[in-house]
Amino acid sequence: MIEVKQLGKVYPGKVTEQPLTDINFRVEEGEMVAVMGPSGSGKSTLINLLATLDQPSWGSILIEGIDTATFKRKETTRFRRETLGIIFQEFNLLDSLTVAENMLVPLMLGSKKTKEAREEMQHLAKRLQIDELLDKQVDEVSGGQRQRTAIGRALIHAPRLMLADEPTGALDFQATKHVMELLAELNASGMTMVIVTHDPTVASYCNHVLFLKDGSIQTELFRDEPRRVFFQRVIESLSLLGGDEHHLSAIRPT
Amino acid sequence: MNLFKLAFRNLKNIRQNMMYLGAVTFAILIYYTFLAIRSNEAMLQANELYEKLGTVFTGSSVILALFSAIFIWYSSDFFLRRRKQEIGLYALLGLERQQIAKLMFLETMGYGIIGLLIGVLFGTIASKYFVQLLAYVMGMNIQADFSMNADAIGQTILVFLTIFLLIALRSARTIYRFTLIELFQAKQQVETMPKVHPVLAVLSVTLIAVGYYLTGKPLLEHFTLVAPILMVCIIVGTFGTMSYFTIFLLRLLSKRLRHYQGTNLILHGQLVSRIKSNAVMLSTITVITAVTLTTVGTATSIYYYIDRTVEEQMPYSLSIAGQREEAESLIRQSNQTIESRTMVNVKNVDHTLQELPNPLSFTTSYQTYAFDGEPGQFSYISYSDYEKLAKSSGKTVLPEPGTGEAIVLETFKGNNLLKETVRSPIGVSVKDTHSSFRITGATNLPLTQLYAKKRLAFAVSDDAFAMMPEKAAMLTNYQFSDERSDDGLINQLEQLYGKKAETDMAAYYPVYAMTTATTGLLAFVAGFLGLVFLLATGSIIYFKMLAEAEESKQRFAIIQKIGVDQQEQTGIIRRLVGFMFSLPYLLGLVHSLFAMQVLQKLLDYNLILPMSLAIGCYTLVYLLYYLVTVRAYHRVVM
Repeated sequence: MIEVKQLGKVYPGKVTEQPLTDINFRVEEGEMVAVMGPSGSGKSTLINLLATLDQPSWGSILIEGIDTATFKRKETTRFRRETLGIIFQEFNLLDSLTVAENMLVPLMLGSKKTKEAREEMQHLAKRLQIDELLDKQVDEVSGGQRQRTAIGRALIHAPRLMLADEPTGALDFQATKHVMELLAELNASGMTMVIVTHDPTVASYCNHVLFLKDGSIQTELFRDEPRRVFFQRVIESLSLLGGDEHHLSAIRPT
Repeated sequence: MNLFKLAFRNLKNIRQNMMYLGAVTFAILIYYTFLAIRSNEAMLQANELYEKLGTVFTGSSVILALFSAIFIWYSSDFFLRRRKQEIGLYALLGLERQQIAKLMFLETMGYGIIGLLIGVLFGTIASKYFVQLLAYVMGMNIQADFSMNADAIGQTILVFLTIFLLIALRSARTIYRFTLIELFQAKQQVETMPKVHPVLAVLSVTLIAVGYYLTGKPLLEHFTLVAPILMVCIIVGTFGTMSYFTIFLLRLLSKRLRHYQGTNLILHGQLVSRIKSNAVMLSTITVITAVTLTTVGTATSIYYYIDRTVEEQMPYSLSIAGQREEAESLIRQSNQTIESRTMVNVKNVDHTLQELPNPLSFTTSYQTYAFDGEPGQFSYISYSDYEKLAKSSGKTVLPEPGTGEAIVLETFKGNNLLKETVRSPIGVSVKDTHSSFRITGATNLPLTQLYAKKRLAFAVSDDAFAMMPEKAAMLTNYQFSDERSDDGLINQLEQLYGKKAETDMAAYYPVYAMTTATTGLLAFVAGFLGLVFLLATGSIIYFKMLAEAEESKQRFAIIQKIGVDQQEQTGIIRRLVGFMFSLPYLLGLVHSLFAMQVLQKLLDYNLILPMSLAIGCYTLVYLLYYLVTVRAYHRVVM
């Protein structure tokens, strides 16, 4: 699904941004991948590159076999519209719209009939358990409900690849659990996912974890055990990687 | 859901876009009101002068249109900056750039239409009252009603459509120019600490000082040469001061010990981090403030002194050449009672001006009234007529000149140049066409208002007067009981005199009516523009400070956590906003005071009272803006 080769990103003139030097990894179709690393390790840069929000300085990103750098503007738009779903830590919902309308925004431009789109949206809302809230303004619902709305928006056009940048960063433990179970369920139905996180709990839901440090991938873990056992392995890898770095990063905002 | 619907939903979110809508509505309201005042039917019918003075309005409406454009540009910048992230999100969700541009355009137009509706509605109401105010200052009595004006609406739509198209182009540019990642990080931009340039700082202040120095003697002596240099000095100096001197000053202050007391450190950090991006705004506001205060001050002063100006030009209610029975009887039939009537015999002699000896060619200002090389006319009166006039206008009577002697009379009431001369004209010999005489006295005495106003006259002894070969003209000056009201008397007299009215009669009332109308209109337009400028400058600072407040939320959250209490935070906000408001205000005020001091010299009036009035009003509204901004800032960060 994704193949990243010798990827690099530098920010000339900026010392604050960690450059990516040499990133190589593959994500198979149907995988659920977590990207972990201390703050400032370039996790967000990586996800921005995958989402075509930013252009690599060198190297290539192949998504479904096509190099994203060769995309023309139309193709980029189509890629974002058809292949990609993305969710953020701060949800990025439009507060002038209701929950239902926020979910419908991506369909607005498609050729789909309004009625059809609404039916699809309602179906999705039921699955996300926000069907009771559809007509509420987004600032009237809780953080977990907002993130589910954002997930709904990302899902509405049935993307094949879901990218998430700290999707649970602003959520409490209960809401985190709820969102992760939802994402795991979506993954089980065949959607490929890449999730940036500093939370080992989130990583433990995934079946492939990349550890990023100093601009390159340091370790990779693959899961073939129950979640609790995998959680221990994630913690161990984090400790090996940089002492108790994950504790630090958990305290620091990323 | 389609683009239209999304645009509509965004429009409905008025709370967030209130300020933008407010700015647009305000600009439209002002512009439409102004046009409506110009084309008000009642005014056009009541005074033919009003239509002729249309150019005053046309010029001002161009200024207003430009100003609206700048103003909307500024506020939409704020609006756009706040929405960068939202634009990024649209792109990410698969909206094409041109669709986003279309969306922004639809929203701009949406607010434009709302603004237009509200603006025209309130403009119609406002223009009625403004028209009444205008009629009052122009000395007219009319009844204005609420009426919509199609032309004014059409022109308003045209002008603002153009402005909105420009804004839409700019939004589109933002969308195309920035990469998505930049749009997303809009809020995280960090400003680098500004460098201190002591040389440029000192140079800027010096430039202003040079400008101020030039407003003194150099300006009065070589006006056309010095005026543009002065303007450049002041404007460049102002921009330099705001860009470099402020940083220099803040840095200097930070070296003092008090810097580490209380919340000074935090305030300083907040100010320094913003000063670079605020410099242009502060300088622009300084210049606008200076221009506004000067314009309004000048207009107020001139309006304030209408009576005096007219009185100087027309010291009598009526002057006529010769005495005609019909005129006398017309006056007697009218409602006016004659308070006084003075008659004087005048002989006019042509001189070539070069003949005038130095103290009589007087000060430089007197020379400006002369026509180079053209013969000038001088009037002569007899001592007995002089005595009569001096007594009736309550002046001390100078002793009678002997043979070969004369008293020089300045006949224009407004001038007092005889006093100002470097050398007294007394003792100077003047060579006349017939003879030469020595001047024994000098005084200001209006003989009549018939002749060109700035003419010198000489009083000679009765015998010498009788000897002069020129034919004497008899002039009669009347003082009426109620010279400011017109009951058609002047008109009747003009008809009586026919073609000779222009040379043989001069009356107070027409000059008074004309001056009041022109000056009133000018004062009104100046006041209107001044008000608009004031509101706009206030709003620009308000917007800017609010944008800053949005970006400083986190800083205030942090300083609260480290133990700066509510009261101290309020103090920081007050001083922060106060700095932004007072800096351009004070500098602009000093600029305008220097400009007014020039005007005072030119007009020779005491302008302290009317100026204080204008500055007082300005300051009051400005202060109000400060308080509102502090409150709004407070609400955002806490």
